[in-house]
Amino acid sequence: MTDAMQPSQALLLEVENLATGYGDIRAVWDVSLKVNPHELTAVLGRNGAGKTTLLRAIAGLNKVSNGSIKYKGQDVSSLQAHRRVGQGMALVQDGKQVFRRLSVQDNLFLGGYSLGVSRRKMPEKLTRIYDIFPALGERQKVTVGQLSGGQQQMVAIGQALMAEPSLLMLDEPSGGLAPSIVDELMAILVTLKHEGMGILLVEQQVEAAIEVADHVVVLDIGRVILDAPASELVDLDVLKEAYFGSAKLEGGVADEATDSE
Amino acid sequence: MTTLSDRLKTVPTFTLPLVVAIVVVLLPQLGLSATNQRQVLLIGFLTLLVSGLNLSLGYAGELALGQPAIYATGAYVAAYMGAHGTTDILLQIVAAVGAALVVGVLTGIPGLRLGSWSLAMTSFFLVLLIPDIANIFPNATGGMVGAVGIANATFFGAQVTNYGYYLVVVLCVIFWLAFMRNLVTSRHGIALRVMRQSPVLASSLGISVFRTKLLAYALGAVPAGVAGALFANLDHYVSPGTFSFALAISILAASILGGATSVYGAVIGAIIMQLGPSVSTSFQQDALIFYGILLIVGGVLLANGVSGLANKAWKKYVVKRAHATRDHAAAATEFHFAPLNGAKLSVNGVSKSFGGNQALRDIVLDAQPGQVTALIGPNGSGKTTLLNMICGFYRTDAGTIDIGGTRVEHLRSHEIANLGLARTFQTPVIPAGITVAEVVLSGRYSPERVSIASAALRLPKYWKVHAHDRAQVAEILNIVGLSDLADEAADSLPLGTRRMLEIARALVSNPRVILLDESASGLDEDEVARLALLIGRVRDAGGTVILVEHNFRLVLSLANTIHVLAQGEIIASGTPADIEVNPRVLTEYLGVKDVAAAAAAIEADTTGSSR
Repeated sequence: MTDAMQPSQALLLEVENLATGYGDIRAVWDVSLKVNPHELTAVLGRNGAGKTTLLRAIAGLNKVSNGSIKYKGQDVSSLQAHRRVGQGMALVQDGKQVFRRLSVQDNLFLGGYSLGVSRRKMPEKLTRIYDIFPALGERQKVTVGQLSGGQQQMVAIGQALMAEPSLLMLDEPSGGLAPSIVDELMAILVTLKHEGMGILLVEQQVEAAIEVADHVVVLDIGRVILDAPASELVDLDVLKEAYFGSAKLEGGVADEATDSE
Repeated sequence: MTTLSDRLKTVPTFTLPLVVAIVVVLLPQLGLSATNQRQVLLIGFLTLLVSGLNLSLGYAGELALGQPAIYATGAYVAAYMGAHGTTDILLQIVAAVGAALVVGVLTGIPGLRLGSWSLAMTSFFLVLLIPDIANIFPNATGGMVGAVGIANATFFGAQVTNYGYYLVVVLCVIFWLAFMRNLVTSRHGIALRVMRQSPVLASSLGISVFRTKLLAYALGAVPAGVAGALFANLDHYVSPGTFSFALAISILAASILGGATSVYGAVIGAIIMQLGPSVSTSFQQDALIFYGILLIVGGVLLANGVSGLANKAWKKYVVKRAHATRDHAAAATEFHFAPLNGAKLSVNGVSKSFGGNQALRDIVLDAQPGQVTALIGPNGSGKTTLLNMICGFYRTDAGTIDIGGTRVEHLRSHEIANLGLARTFQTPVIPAGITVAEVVLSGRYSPERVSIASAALRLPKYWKVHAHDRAQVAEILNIVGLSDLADEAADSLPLGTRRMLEIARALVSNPRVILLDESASGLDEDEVARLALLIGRVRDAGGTVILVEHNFRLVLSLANTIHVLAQGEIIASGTPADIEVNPRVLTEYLGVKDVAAAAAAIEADTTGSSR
């Protein structure tokens, strides 16, 4: 359970008893979680559990109907989405939200402008993104619409990184990425958190996420059903138990899962 | 307790319009004054004009301003006939419809071929041409003075009385609205809405975008032609001044105010635009300002017009939707597909470059029925490009593609879809504003056809296919576990559910070849298991499955053959057992760092491509 009683000055994001949804459809009922600087909190759970809705609410894209969102100690739940970005909260949404008719470089520029990064500092920041994603470095002038799906995903992540947020939220960043790129992405997240960023990661690739996470929160039907340090989840059976409850895997797809049964 | 809303739900949706129609028919008997009867008739004409525009603007997504021109065509045809001895009103209507269709098709073809706003432009100029054309044929049209001498209409030899004329107009409106309602609630209406939002999706479902748009635009000309023929018999006088640009704007305003994507919105819009102006005394001078204000109000405040508001209220207060928790366990585990008539897919020497960028080079691969053929490779290696060439979205630079013995590389995408090719998209393409069941239904467009006429007139063929549609959609929704979401708005679903929905849409067409583009991405483990089960069943049923996928475990467990693409070329092909240990796959695709010594040499010459 959450140790909400423990005070912490360095807390970056603190979500308490959050309820939110779309219109009158409630998707998140009661979620509390925390993200510290230098740490990565992974949010896991089945599709429809409310993970994306939760991230959208934290970013200000969904209305909060109950509970609070504190960022750097200040309640931001009534702040407009673009103001939250201005304060250093960045969200990478799933489904490649990029400007398809602009070049790679312009897309990245736009990510930087949103935080008022000065033009002079841009080249240095661009270089850093191209170091992270060499595939983008080779295609700086290419229109994003011409890139493959996976490369567009890289642009979306690069955009958020350009703003050098204090809190980086990623909604299934591995979607559409080849396994080797997923590994690289996870390594990048580790580097970023070591540099001081707080990261909130929603991910379907459970094992990859746990490997880089400090803290893991599992949602089901809009509620937290497991909240534990990642180190306690090295034995994945605990997680599987929480994750799937009584539902059994069938079909023998996930070889490892069937092996462990 | 049975509430009012429960009772309302059991009432068929056409009840209210039917009651209104009966009342309108009886109004003169109930003592409606001649002046007010005239208003009803004018509302009727405007309704026909607006409804025709709704079909092309609201459903097909093409703005056309030419309704006054079609209206004029109908009116002049009827006026000419009436002045030259053919007074039967039915004959006049039929002739006017014929002429309207001709004008619609002739202006629609160039307008739609040129794309974007050109239909709006061509139809706009058509309106400006009306007085000039009337002037060219003064004997037939009366030129600027107008056509006079139109004899009183007859109906099978009998003179049409005032009430008879009133009845003809009202019945024409009722008949057209019923036609329109039947059309848009049928699969054709869904096809139109799909096409409006995503032409790419529509063509991959076997819908010819050009033909469908032309059909919608030309059909929209029909009620305008009818209205013209009726109008000529109102005052027995037709002058070019009636068919002005102001009329075009008021039709557009009525369409937007009433709700362009609706059937009965046309009536509401027509009433507002007909009666609204007569309230204001100094209206004649300020007509355009008034229309402009209405357009802005309609556009800003009422996204879907008055009928959209009514719909929303209906949904909110009457249809109380049950929001089931998405319980995946509800999916059927015991199911089987009817045997699929899988077709062999052969790609032979296909190359493609975009500008100077060689996306694919000399690709050769076969996919056999009853097998899963997987394509894997790094991002940007050309996997999706290859799928797009198979579907006919891109043309090949060289090489051939063959599906079941038919060369397809020169066919258009809807033609290839009609050969039995179905696909899903990397980012699911789910149109907004339609339900889950309707999304699946859109996949039924290609395998079994119904003409627009039999759909709109509800002929036996329609009911037969409708029954098949319902059964198939229900079955496939059950198989993918989305039955309890059937009536939900499809575009608000989570990503994983949208992916399953796309697969359902592809499968419901009984495809001979199915292309799955990263279908497992974003799915949770339950859903991946279900997907694997589904793909396995499709394969066992004899379907040809092409799987583009990054979930390597899923690929290994399902594929018969794996082809590995890198930088536009196939670098390895083989069984899962071969590919699993292929050093280039391990390093370039999976990013394994310490491959066994045997792979060390190969790793050495692919420096830099992986860290």
